Amino acid sequence: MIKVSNLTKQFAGHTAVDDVSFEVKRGEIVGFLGPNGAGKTTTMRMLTGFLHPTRGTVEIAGYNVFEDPIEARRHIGYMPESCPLYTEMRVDEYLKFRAQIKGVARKQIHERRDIVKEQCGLTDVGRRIIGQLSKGYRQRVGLADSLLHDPDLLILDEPTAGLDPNQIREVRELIRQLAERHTLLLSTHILPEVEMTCRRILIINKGKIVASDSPESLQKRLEGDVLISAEIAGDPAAIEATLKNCGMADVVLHEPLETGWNRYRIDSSDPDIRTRVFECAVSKGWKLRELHLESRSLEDIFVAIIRDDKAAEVKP
Amino acid sequence: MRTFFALWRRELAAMFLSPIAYVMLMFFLLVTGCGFYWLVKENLEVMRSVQGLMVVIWACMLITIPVLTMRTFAEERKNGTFETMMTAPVTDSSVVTAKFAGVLTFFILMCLPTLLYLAITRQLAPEAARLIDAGPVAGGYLMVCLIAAAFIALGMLASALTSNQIIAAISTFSVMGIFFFGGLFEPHLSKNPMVREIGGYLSSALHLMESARGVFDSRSLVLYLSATVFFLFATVKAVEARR
Repeated sequence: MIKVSNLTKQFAGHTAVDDVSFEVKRGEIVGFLGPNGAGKTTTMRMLTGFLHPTRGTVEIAGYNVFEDPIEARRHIGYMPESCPLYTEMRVDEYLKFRAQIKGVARKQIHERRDIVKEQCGLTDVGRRIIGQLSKGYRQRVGLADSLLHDPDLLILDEPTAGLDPNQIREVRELIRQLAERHTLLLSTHILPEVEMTCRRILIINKGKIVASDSPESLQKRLEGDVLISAEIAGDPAAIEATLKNCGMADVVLHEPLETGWNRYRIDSSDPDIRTRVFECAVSKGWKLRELHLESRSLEDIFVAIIRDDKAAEVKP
Repeated sequence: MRTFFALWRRELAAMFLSPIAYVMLMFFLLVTGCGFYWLVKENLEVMRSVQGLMVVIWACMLITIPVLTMRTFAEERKNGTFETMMTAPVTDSSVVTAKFAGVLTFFILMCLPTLLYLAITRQLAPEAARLIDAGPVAGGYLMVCLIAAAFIALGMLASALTSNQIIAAISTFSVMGIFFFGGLFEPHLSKNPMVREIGGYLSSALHLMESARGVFDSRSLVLYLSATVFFLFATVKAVEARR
């Protein structure tokens, strides 16, 4: 669906996007992550043909975005960052105008408009002036606009930026529904959003793609080991020493709980570590009341990848 | 073509939805109305007043055109709607020509009530009105439209080059000023005959007076048409280049 090869964009004095290549297959839901200023928006603008690259090509549904822009754009539904709209127009007027310029057949304009309004929960606000709508509703109008011509590919640049938690939940739910029918590329720096919706993650930092994988394999790649937490009663020094001496744990950290109890966080390369801790507790006669596998959040992964990238940069 | 009409309608609607258009409309009708009243009062010959009216309209253009065109691209760029527009399946040239057609249509609608002045004259002074000649009046208005087209295209170019509306308006005003004052003070411009000749060619006021007298000069027609095409072409290029 999307094929990006060696995409580079230089602005006066600095390189915003540096030799980026990636592919997105039909039906995929891809999260595009990166710190602020990493080049997410610039990349998305090039994907939609709004910005011309210094070098490189973008193909959308087989059409080169820069040589065949009109055909390529027919396959894209794009919602720019902060969702700019003509605030003096009514919702219905705006959607009709957008359908017209997107080449929706005359007879289908009203039908398509009603469908997207229904999809985005705008049925009651058709007569309202966009400027008087709340930010959450405006975001929905932007989404409805991107869906009007029933595109194969949706590109959404920070769709939940600036919304309150309630609105974020609503928009996220909407995106999840859309993901069933469209290929989706979604940029954000809100990690739980990606964790909940995306099946693949692209991480961009300083204009370069530093990771591209599913959230699970990113997690695995980063860890290669497991993190468990255990609550054990007894002398912490002795327990720690035993765990370490058994060779089953690489790192043991403990934090005291109420009298006699301590919580241990154990980092180990042994995938069977929980069974071994349990056996150890039985044989030594420790009291064990909790033992569970902790999953690392995407946030840990993101921070680690960006940090590794920085470290790699310093070394040479 | 459907896209063009959709864009044109949107542009025209945007004009009527902005308060600045109404301010311009009021300003234009007030100045031309008072101007025509004064001309009729001072001149006995009604066709001289019509020629004068054309020059008053031209003077009003100096303010109205920069103000009407400054928002075309600069505002969209500032609000970010330029991005939504240019990522829709529309060509740069259809956006530019539709916006141009939108502003020109608004300008023509703004000029239409001035025809009422002639109708009122006919009512109040039937003898004088018998001297009103339809040909030169039509010629005068045609020239007004040609001049407006060229300067609207210029104003759009200025708007496409910056995201600051004030800068766009002042740049347009400055270039129009050369045509306006260059023509007005042409006799005092320089002793050099060549400079004076060029000043005469560029004098929009002179072109208007002549066409309202019934003399239609193809040189001015070529000047304004080619200027329109050139500025529109440059605007398309400016839109492309700012990507």
